[in-house]
Amino acid sequence: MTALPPTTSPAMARIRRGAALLRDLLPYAGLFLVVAYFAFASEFFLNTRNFERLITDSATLMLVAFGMTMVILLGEIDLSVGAVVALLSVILVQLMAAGLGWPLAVILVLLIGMGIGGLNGVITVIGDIPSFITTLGMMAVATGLAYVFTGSVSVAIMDDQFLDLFYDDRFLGLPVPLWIVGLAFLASVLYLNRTVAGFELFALGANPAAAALSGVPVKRRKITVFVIMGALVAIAACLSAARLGSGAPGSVPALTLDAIAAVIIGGASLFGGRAFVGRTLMGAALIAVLNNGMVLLNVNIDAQYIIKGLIILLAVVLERVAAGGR
Amino acid sequence: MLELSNITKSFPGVRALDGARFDLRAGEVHAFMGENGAGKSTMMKIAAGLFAPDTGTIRLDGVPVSFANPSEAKAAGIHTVFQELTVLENLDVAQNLLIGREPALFGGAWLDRVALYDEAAKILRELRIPMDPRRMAGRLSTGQRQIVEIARAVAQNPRVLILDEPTSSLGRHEEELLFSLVARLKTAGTGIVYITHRMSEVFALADRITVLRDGRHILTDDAANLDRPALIRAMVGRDVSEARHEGESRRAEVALEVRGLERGADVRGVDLTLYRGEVLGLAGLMGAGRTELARLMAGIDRPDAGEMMLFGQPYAPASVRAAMLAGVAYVSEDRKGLGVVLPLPVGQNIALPSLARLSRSGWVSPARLRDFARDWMGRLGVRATGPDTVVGTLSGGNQQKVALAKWLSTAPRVILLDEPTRGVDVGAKAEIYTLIRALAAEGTAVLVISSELPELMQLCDRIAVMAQGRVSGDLPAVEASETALLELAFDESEAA
Repeated sequence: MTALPPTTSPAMARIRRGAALLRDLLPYAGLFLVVAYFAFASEFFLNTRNFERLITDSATLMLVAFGMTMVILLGEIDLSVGAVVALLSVILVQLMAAGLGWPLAVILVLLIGMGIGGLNGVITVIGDIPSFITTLGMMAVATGLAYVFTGSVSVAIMDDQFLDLFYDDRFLGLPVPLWIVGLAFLASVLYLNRTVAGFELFALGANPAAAALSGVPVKRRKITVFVIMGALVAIAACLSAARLGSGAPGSVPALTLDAIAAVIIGGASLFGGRAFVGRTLMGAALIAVLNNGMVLLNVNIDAQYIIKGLIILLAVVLERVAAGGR
Repeated sequence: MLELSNITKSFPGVRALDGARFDLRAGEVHAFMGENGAGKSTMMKIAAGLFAPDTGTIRLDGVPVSFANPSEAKAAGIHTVFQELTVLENLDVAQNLLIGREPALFGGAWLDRVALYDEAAKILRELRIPMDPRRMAGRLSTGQRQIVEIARAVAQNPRVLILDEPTSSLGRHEEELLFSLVARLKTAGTGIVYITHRMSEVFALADRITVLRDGRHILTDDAANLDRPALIRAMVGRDVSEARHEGESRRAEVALEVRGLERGADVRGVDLTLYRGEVLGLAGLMGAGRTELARLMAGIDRPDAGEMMLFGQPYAPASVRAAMLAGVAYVSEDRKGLGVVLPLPVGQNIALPSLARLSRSGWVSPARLRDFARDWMGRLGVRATGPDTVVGTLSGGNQQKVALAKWLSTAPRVILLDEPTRGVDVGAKAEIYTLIRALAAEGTAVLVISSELPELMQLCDRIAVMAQGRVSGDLPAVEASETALLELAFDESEAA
């Protein structure tokens, strides 16, 4: 229910168009600006080794951000991703420590990840509960379980084959994590823009009631998105474990925040119906460069949070102004 | 009293008003008419202080005025009730009535609840509105909310009251309530601007009529000097046939048959037969259960009891998709809320129910989708740049055509149209009527739910009437009169 009929005075319209332009430019211009700034400010930033580290370091974030794009497109949110990545990496390491070969361990982790995502989806959709509550609960459960499984210490990975494959190996000259991110990106873009399910997600996010009346299987589509999110989180957990060489229960504290930030910097609407994987990729790259550059410049962790928080707020405000209040 | 002269207003790409004028006398009801997009709303939003005109003057009692915002217009005594309801569902009637000017103690810091309910009860009593001030607005019907909205404006003793399509969601009782409110305001000297698409109301209420077309002033005259055809000519700029359909009903083949259908308190034992190639009207008062019945037929809700037969086969759709696959489509009355997805392009809206058919093993080609949409846009005459135009930017009539195209493209054998012309201008209305008749001629069974009896009598072969969850009778359209239909609609017999 709108408070007032939409005012469309020329001044307001100009402001709105301006905000829309800024919103659409933000991921690209922002990325350009931070790269330029860090290249100028740190001698360690602009070199191949740093860039490779940047890419492999950000693979986890990228995968989770792609899933988050679909969740936010539905007008939902997933606050559990960071905790679940930690939990799954712990499970992965424990499975391998128990003597399971890495391929089997990875498959099991993938299934558990999809199960957790599915559980988030089922509770949210069938129980008609806001996803931020469902996933907040899941976050607490996953964090707790991760500590229970490890006894609060991180466990090192002994399987060199696994570490090589998910971190060090190259295929056609590029690091394996980059290939995984590339494949996941392509799959996400195709899913959203070339499949029946993808087309229906846009309608579903913008107007669930109208979508339901058009014969869209609302519940199935929503739960599927949470399952996809779970799968991406599981792959992210494998990459994260390989990068750290261990499974640590508190390994990725800022991941949830960073993933949501990437989607919002990409111009998505938190009210659903508007989100783009391509721009999320830019948003995630911006966050990754920011993380990397601020470490190089020895910006302390608290200041890093403040800066990222301000960028999120700026992106959200721009999106709202551009959308014209409603 | 209020005079807008030589008003021009342009928006990017459109000249909404082009030297338009309008004047209002104290104590008159002045109907303001024109097709959607003629500039009525823009004109009234200028009067209400929402827009500033590019050129032109506004005079109040002969003095030039300009309003920077709606509050300034309100302070000058100009109140507006817009089509979009602003009643807050989480507050009760009294709080809604007095919002923004609640009685307060201690210099405005403390809400005086006793005075609030006293004051609200007094307003409702004076306006003769039978409503409990403590009732939550969320539990009111749409029509009752509209009444609260109007009462809120009336209670502030406006000098000018602008009503934008006030009856589009009112039931008959509420309509009468509104008309008596209007009559009281008139005697108190309030000037009332009445925007509506309903001819019968215009001639029942208005003292004078102004018609706008393409942002220009076409005519202003006493209502007594005008008649329906003259008004329609003025609005459309051409003659629109209002001839009643010569209903020779083709009762050859039963398309959809409903026996003893029940759901909750809304649908209480409906028997209805819909034939192939006929347009069946479904009349009834608000709350008679018409939409609820259509939702059962369309697979949106499940009946508690009763059965349906579709072309002789048992029909019990478990979902919208199942109904669609069986060849039954439902176009909702709530176009913006349920009919179309406003922020999405025309193409995606039209293709939404047909995606499965347009895809190969789950994959959709965007080019194919666009071609499909373009084809249907052409067939229905959707006026939009292309399939990528966002539906929210189209006029009401074009949005409705998108909603129709969306369902017609699923090739339904039975189509259920719920208020297909609500908020649609005269020209688009005629196009939609032609379309419906053409559908029936091709053999589709069409059910039209409408609250406008003249519309049903003009469009349908046969009209069934619902009262209190049952079908109280049906008549061939050629024999139907408003009196006969209303008698059926007010039928209160407790049939088994």
